[in-house]
Amino acid sequence: MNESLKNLIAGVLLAGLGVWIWVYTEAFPTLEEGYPGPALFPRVIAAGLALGGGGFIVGSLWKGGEIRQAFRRPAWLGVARLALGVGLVALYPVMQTWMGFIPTVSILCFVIAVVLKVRLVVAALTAVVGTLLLYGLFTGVLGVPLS
Amino acid sequence: MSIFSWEGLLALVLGGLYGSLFGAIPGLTATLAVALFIPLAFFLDPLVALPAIIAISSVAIYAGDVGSAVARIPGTPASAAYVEELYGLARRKGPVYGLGISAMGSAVGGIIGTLLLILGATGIAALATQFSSFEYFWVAVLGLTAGVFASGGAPLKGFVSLLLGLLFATVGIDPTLGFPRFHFGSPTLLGGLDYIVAMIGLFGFSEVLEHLYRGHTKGRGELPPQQGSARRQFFTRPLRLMQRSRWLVVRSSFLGVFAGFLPGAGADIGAWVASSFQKMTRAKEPDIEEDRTVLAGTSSNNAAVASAWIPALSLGLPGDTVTAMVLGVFLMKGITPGPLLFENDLSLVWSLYLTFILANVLLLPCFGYLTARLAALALKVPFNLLLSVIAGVCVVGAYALHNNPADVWIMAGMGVVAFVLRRGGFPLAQVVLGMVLGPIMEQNFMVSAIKSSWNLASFFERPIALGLMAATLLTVFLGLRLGKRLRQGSKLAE
Repeated sequence: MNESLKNLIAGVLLAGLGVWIWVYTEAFPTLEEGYPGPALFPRVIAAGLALGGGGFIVGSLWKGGEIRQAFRRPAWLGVARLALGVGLVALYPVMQTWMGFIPTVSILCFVIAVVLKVRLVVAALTAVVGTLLLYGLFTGVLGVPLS
Repeated sequence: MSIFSWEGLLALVLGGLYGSLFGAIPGLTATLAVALFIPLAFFLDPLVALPAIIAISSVAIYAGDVGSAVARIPGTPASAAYVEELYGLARRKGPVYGLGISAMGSAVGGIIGTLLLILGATGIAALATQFSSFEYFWVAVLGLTAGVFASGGAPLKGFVSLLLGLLFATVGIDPTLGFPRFHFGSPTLLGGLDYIVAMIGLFGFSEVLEHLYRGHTKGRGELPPQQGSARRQFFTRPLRLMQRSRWLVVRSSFLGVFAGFLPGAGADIGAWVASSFQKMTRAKEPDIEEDRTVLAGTSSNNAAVASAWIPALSLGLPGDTVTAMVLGVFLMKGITPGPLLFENDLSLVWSLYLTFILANVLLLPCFGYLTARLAALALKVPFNLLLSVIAGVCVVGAYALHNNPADVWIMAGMGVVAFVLRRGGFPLAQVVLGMVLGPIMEQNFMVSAIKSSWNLASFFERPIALGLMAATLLTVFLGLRLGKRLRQGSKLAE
């Protein structure tokens, strides 16, 4: 994906976010005598995002030719690996209450290492030793509870 | 008992070790280190407890750079200001050299901060009392403006990143009027987004996601060959750099002192302002730009650690959360901070000054060298293996902060946001800056506006506020000029 297309997508998303914030803050109360209340800062941010987004859209449309050449097959395998990483971390709070800290973090580290093409034995050893070290450091040495 | 008793010295050494562990681990901050030490401090003599707290906070702020150098995860918010530069420096010129700049800069910044603490505690504290919500608002605006132009050749992208950080800072209860915003019914979001959790996701987890997406890593051997012994890398080369950049160190330390003695500002803002100004004025010596940015940030944040004690000792006002806890220790021990402290308990005051000097002259170089050697060892581990452990550290660091599982989700979400921003070429440090300065700016703007009955001209009436506004305009002017120079430079290069 080239720079112009990236900027066009970023511009549309940012302007959309700005509009959404503006609409969402319509429901916020105002102060007495009509002075702005809790909506003031979010709206300043919304206006900034819309302006910034507009700047990106104008800048990228200026180079429209580059955009038309930019589409290519997305890296689906990369997206799948990325989703796996996010999914594993998102599942941590659920799995931790069910399995406990050490097995959950060990599995997380092991799977990520395997996806990053570390050999199975090395990945397993690193995951278990690394997790035990983290657990010992946090709970034993520093006195920070992990459960 | 004195600081030179074996108990005092032991407290200093153990405090330094404890602080270096806390600072180096993402999610654990200097504030948390001191908070966990407080129950123990209540049972200790003040001449043992207070030196330990000074050692913990001084070394933890430096050690926050270790995570930046090894894994691009700043250990403390003060380190986030120059995380990209330190990470790049560790990869290109070696972690021992990068952390050497950090430790030596911290030591000198800390000493300058301490000297100002000794020489001008009362006078500087009196200046701090002149700051009202108007001045704090302008300090925040100055910091944010400097942050936009510190993003190098793309200020629009820096501006957007900053706005996203400001947007994240609006989540939760509105700091002035108490109205809940953007919480979508979630009790966790009602409490706001913690910027430490956000930082772990933005810098640490996004690195893991980036490599998962690419599906390959560069393995070991990324580090440059070491030029000379480790001692030369850690001590000699950084000291030479400091000698070449002595005015930068002095300027950054003064900026740190200025940010540190303002109640509620502290080391984080000191580091941001100093490194942003350095980034804006760079391009004189391109080969040592990163080195100088790290030096500016690190000397500023440790100067702020010392100067945060100025209002605490002189007026009994906390400069940051650490000194707020210190004031609690003072009061529990029957010591009343303020002008009378300098008359009634001068030996305690001098013990604190000496402790700051010892912590900066001895502890920072010693623990700094030790942690830099350990960081160099960590970087020899194949990077894909290191990334799997970093993923674990991110999860544990986010969870350990409040023992709240929802923080892990917030961290993961921030990781995804950062991944997308990085792909689009948006800087990440500005997001953290927005999150740190956003509440300060909003709260002080609203308080000032309400107390002046929305007479906005009152923002321009006070002399210090006007001075800060002039500094903001100067920053915009310098930033635009630098942008023009950079564009001309890149056209010439083409």
